[in-house]
Amino acid sequence: MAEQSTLLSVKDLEIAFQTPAGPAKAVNKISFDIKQGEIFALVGESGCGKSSAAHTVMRLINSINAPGHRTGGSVCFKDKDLLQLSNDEMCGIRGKEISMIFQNPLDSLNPLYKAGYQVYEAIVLDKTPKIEAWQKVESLFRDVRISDPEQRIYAYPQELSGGMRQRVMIGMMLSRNPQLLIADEPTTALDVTIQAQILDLIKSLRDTMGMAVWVITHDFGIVAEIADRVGVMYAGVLVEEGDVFEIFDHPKHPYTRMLLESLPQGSKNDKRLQTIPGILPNPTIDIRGCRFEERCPFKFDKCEMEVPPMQRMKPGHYVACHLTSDRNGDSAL
Amino acid sequence: MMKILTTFGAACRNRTFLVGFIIMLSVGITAMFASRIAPYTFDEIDVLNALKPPSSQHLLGTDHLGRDSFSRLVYGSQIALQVGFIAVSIQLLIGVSLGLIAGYFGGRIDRVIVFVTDVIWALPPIILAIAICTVLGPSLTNVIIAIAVVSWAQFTRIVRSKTQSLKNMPYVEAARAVGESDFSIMVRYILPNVIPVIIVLATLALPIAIINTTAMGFLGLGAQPPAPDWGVILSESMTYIRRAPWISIFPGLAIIYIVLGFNLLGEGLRDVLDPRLKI
Amino acid sequence: MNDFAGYAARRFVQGIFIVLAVTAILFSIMHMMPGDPIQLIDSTRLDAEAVAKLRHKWGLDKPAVVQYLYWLGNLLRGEMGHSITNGQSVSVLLASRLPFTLQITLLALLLQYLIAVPLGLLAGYYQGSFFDKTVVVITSVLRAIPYFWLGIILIIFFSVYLRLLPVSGYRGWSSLIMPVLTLTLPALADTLRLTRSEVLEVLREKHVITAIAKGLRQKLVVLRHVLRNALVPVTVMFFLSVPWLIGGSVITETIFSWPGMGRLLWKAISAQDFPVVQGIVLIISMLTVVSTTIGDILTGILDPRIRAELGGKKL
Repeated sequence: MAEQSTLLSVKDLEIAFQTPAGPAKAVNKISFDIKQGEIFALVGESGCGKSSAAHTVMRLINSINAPGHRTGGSVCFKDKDLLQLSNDEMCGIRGKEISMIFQNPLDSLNPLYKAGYQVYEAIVLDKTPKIEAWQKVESLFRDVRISDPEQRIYAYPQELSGGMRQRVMIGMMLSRNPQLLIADEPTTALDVTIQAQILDLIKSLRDTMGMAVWVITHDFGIVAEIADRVGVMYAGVLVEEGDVFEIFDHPKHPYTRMLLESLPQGSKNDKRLQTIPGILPNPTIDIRGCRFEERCPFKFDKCEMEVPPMQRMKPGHYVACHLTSDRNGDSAL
Repeated sequence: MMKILTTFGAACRNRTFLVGFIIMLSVGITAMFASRIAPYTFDEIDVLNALKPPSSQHLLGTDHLGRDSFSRLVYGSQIALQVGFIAVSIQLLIGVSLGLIAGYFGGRIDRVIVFVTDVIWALPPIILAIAICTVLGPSLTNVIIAIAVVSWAQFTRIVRSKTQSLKNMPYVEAARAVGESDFSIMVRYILPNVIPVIIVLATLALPIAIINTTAMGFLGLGAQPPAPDWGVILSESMTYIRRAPWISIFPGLAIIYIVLGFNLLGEGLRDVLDPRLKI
Repeated sequence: MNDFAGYAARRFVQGIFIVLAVTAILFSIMHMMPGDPIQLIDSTRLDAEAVAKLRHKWGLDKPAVVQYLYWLGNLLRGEMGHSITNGQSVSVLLASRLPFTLQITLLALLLQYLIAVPLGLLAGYYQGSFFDKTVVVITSVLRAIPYFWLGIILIIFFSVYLRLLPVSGYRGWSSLIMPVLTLTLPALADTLRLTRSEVLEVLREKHVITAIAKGLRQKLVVLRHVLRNALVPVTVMFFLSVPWLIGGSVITETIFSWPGMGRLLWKAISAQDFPVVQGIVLIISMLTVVSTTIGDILTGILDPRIRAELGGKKL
């Protein structure tokens, strides 16, 4: 893909939630860019803060679902810092410029309204005439490959299958031609065969409509299938970032390596699947050094003392690990 | 026993429960030591001092027969608590056993019980209680019976649906496979799991029973004068509303206090025991 | 939808059965009463032969079941017997009193929902705010207030102290204020609480986030996706609360000498006028059954999930 201009630039993003045990840092100074038209995947275990980051970019975390949360840093979308916009200005961004689909299509749609109406509701925000809007709903249903779109428009969400509902969500969220689609674990709740169809759909819609896609997932398999570039997150920090082929072929961070090793690789590999021992560190406790230190088989003294900085390995490949910086990238790994 | 203590400890950290508990503790102490707390007896007539406003002699004034309002209220708490507990106990006995039977056995017996529950549900409780008391004649005992008869249906509904979901649990099926009798399965395996819900419901049923009892007393169908029933006091006070409004005000405050106490206690318990329960 | 029409029909039939059961209960209660209607009328003036004749004429010598069917037949023709105290037809008596009861109960219901729903929505939306906390405390106290005491307090305040409103009876619109307030306030607390907790629950649902994410403004999200969903149980509660409200109206009418059915009931009880008691209890039960049936069917109309579930359900 040709070099394109930056669409979304996340800089030193910090998110903290109020918990009974004190403030917990879900995201700790992460920075990355998403370019126009690319598919960027953010990978990590559940609870590593990737979903919080996406919800924060959309400003969906509010005083109702997370009282007492704090954010820091900046999220620049086409020269506007989304974190500084007023609520009204943000309403103009959501759906129109950036939209988002969610993990569980089962409860992402309002059970009291017909599927078509919920898409229609988004389209008419752009002052589209009524009849034209309904025609657009139907053609969108066709675009997201829903069979019998004329009838499905009038179905209630609970009358549709999970995959169908996710298609409705995609149609709804692309109805106003946004430039960025955030897909938060878009296939986690779906059957494996449906997963592939949905990923395929997202990819082909990106090709026809040209929007950028930010996929959030815990599954490297999905990354391999869809992403152009990958960021790997661990416990609220970004540990490695790069081109998808580069990351798969030359992973540098021990965590990335272990994640890749824990991936089933089909029949050609008869090794047993690897697991990563240990659990994510407690987010309410401040950690002085590297956050992966506790679970890292290659740790040494420095890892406990200093936070490893993000360093460039190659053009477009960044790693935050003392192993690579100390031994000039030519590590024992 | 340990479980009860730890639950109580958890409940005390809930502010709603704690306030309710303190209120109910004060009501309980008042009822228990009524004869020590009340400066007069509830039926000490002193016509010369009738309809006197609150003073140092009579803390809350006197009624039309010169009886001390404060003492009557204090003794009235005994009636309120007694009636509440007896009526709700009967409701529990009927409601829980029918609910267990309907939910556990299903089939025809379930349909019959559900229909009876629906019929009871269809009758406004206070109206049915009035009809029953009219037939049985006015007395406190009959009011207790009437209130119990009209309000057990809610227990049946909840216990039935809980039993239905519990009876297919693996441990219940295991017990059945080992040859436990139906009765023993219901009492030993299902009932314990329903108890938290029952406790919450019962706590919230108590204030309703008390309000209904005082309402019946107010209508002249419940306790009869000179009983210091709060409803009776209110009903008698109506005549002197212009000359001695204080007689009317305090019994109502007493009812609000006790009902508020039970409500807070029940809501607190619900938050601790079964937060998703909708009542 | 066709399945649901079937459910609605079954639910309607069930309502009829419940009313029948209520009549049976009422008949047995009255049948078990010591003495029979003839003795109640005037037993001294009639000799044994005349009594026997009357018994035969009124069907009192027949078995209970036949008597019940006979009585039921009369009910269907709108014939509910005669008052023992003044010999008036019970149906005529009820027809003259019912409008007064409906007047205050319906007004109270309307007022209650007009106040409770917006306040409950605001309290739920701004959960934890000063406004919300105030609302929670006030409703806790309101819920604990017994109808009859509230009525007395209103009389003391508005009539005795301020001398603004007539104490009792029916003297035009000003007489409506206190009875309606008495019925409204305690029930209002329950409705407000329900609205608030439903709003809180819907706010936690994921589809609200979807509505925000697609670009709807806050006001639309709240009205179309939060309030609309929260209103399903609240609307149903509107119909299910009728029995409580009618129960409250008996006491309220008694306090304010309001010429409705409740006061008539109280008077009939004091006078041991059983035919009138029977008639009123029957009418009230029927009103209750009708409104709960409407409530049940309405849930299905308002919520497609319940509609689908009920359509497949046998009664």
